[in-house]
Amino acid sequence: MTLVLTANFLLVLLIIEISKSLMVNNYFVNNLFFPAIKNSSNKKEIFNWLFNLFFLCSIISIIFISIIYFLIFVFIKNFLFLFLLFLIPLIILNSFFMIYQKFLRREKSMLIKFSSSTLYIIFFIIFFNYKNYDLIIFGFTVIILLEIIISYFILKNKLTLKISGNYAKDFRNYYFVKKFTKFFFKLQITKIFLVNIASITLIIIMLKTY
Amino acid sequence: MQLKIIKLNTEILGIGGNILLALEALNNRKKNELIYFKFNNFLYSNQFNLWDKFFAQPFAEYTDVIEKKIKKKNFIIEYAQIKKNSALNYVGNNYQILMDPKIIEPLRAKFKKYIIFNDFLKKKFLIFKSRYLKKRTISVHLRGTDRFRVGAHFENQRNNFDFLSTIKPSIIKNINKFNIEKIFLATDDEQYLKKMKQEFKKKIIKLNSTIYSQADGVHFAGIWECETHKNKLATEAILDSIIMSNCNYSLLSQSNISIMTLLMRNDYNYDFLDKHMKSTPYVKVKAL
Repeated sequence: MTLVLTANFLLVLLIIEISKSLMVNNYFVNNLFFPAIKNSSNKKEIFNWLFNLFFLCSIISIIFISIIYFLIFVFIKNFLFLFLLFLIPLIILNSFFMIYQKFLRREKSMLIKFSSSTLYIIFFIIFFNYKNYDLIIFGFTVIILLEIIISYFILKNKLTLKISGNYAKDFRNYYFVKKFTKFFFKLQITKIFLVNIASITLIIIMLKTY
Repeated sequence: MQLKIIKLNTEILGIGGNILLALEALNNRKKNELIYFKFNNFLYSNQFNLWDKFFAQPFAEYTDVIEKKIKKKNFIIEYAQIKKNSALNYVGNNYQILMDPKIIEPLRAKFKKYIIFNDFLKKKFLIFKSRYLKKRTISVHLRGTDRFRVGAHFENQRNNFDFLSTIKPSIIKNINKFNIEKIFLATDDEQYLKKMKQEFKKKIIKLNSTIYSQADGVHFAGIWECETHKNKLATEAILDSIIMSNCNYSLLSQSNISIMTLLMRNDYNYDFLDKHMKSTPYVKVKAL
């Protein structure tokens, strides 16, 4: 029983961590975006815009997943989607802080990583007796939320994050998303990962349904 | 009257290129046609129509008619482009075209009639003129930075545009010829600026404050900047061009800003510093 739980736990953890690292280690971000902003006049403004973009993407993904959830819930009564409703937007938002950490290249990123891995271990110790996918996803959602909060408080001195409606119609959004997506899907590993994650999700849904 | 909206969505074209595209559209305009520019160029603005920020619309006196037609969706859309054989397309061009009054004069007339700078640009220019353009001045446009990047028109040709062998002799020759006292330098290239300052010291007058290293440039490093900085880049580029056109003589580079400058002049007192350089014709330039 514990072996199955550990396997499930690690599987979900692996999916979350790989998806985050694929977003953060994007060729476009590391090799084109960072060098371009290295000598920019107002880095704080650029990262404030980027935060607004990731925040906007999180909201859009919430709306998108809610629609899918309500459409699917009629046929498949699965609460797993309810947690995905928050998990995916939080992964997107968390990616912003991970991108910012990479730009700073400080020990602070290690501190954030350490605190989040501690949270994962605590969560695993508390819930290792429950064989419940919904609970695992719920736990990871809470951990990522905590990771965002920790990242914010560690990095807040370097950032000026203000949510502004003006950034919604910023031309940079379209260009960043276009380039980011292009390089994201260019990677073979992304394609393999996406195919695998889709098949794993389908298997989980099928196992839960029947 | 038919309304034609000229649209442009670009992230790589400079301000000079935008103006030349507008001029091309005005040049190809049919009789009784109203033209409205909607240029989204995110090198210079993150949110707004670039044209409205820096220029007046060419048919501003018909604003009411244009607004009504836009409301009723009674217009045609055309995407701005320069034809391969146009005089405004400097890539692979014969320089005699840019010195030919038969070609240049009609374009100058259209430029003066329709390309109207906003008041804040005019004011800034007048302030600069009253302070610095009192003596005989030569303007030098040194287009460097990202035009030598991989994928640009002059890929890996920085050695052909060398300061000591190409730029300096030409400037000295013209200083002596026209009895010049001051040099107005329009460049954002760190290397050229340094060498010019070393060589000509107090003779140099300069306006723009943004300087890039050899490989960077507005088309690469300026993309993600904030609105204020982008607006400043555009303002400085336009002002550089206006000031150059008001100098006694101009030494230009193969660039849209330089072509814009010669179209604003009333004479033919200009030459190209890099006319020996061959560009890659009609290459698809990639900013990133």
